[in-house]
Amino acid sequence: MNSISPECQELKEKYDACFNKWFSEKFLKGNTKDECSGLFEVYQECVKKAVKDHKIDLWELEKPVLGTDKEKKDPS
Amino acid sequence: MSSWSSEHIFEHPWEDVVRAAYRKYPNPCNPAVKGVDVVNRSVCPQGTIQSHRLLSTEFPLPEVAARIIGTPEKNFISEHSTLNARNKMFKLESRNLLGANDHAMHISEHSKLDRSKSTYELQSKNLTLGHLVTVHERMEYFPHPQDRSKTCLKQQSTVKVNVPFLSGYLERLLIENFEKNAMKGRNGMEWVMDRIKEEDSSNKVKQESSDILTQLETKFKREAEDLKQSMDSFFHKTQANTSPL
Repeated sequence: MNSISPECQELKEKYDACFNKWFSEKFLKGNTKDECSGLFEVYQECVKKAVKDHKIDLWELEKPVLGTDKEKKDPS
Repeated sequence: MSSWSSEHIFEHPWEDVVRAAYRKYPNPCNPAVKGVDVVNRSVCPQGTIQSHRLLSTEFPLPEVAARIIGTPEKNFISEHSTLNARNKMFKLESRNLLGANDHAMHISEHSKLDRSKSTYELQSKNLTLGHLVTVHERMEYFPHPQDRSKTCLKQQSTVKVNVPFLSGYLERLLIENFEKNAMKGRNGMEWVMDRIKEEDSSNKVKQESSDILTQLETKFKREAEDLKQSMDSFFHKTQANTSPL
């Protein structure tokens, strides 16, 4: 899968590979210590820069939604 | 504003489904998704993972809607999710964002209502889809209450169209699309789960081959040493029995 920005492609692939492996072999088996945070930090820096460069509405990205009162309720 | 919801059962356990959910794209059933990035992720030792992802898609409007609203620019979707491994719940919530050119758009300046032709044209120079169409989606994956080998998916979508006069009509069109897209999404998940199963068995075979090779290597080494020891001991005995005359 492509990154939003080509500059982040390699970093994304390295991080995704680490996360997917860790998630199935460690996290789902009860070992919840994050082992990919180093790779993620580098990748995240690149993504944040790409978001700025694409002028994507940042405020949307900073607000958490799930677990807050902004979380959508079941439509009834 | 219009809403739509559905429920589905995957014939797979929750762990397999959530592994696929994190790796859903790319898949041949959802070609509209062009890019995915993780903007933020935090792992809690208690067994939860919060993620914030940004997806870029071509927003495939039904043709009639596209003719009215115009050809959209790249559409971005912001997706927040929480996975709780303890109570086996994976919740995702997403909405489309305003596009790259997020200037306020005054519809009256850019619109032309032609009553005679019953068309409503919008000049789409500064148009981004996010100003006109807002789509919220919410999904929950959890184990089937009666059968843990299966996983339930509850899905809800709401759409709001900000086009005067035509919002009801366009919303209905988009809602009809949700059922089609939901099926594509589920088929996409099945495809990803099949790929993961293939990977897992291929990795298993590789690991088993590697284990067998290691065992054979150890066995040969041991037998070679045993043989060496036997030979050494034979030579010693032979030398001892042969006394120089």
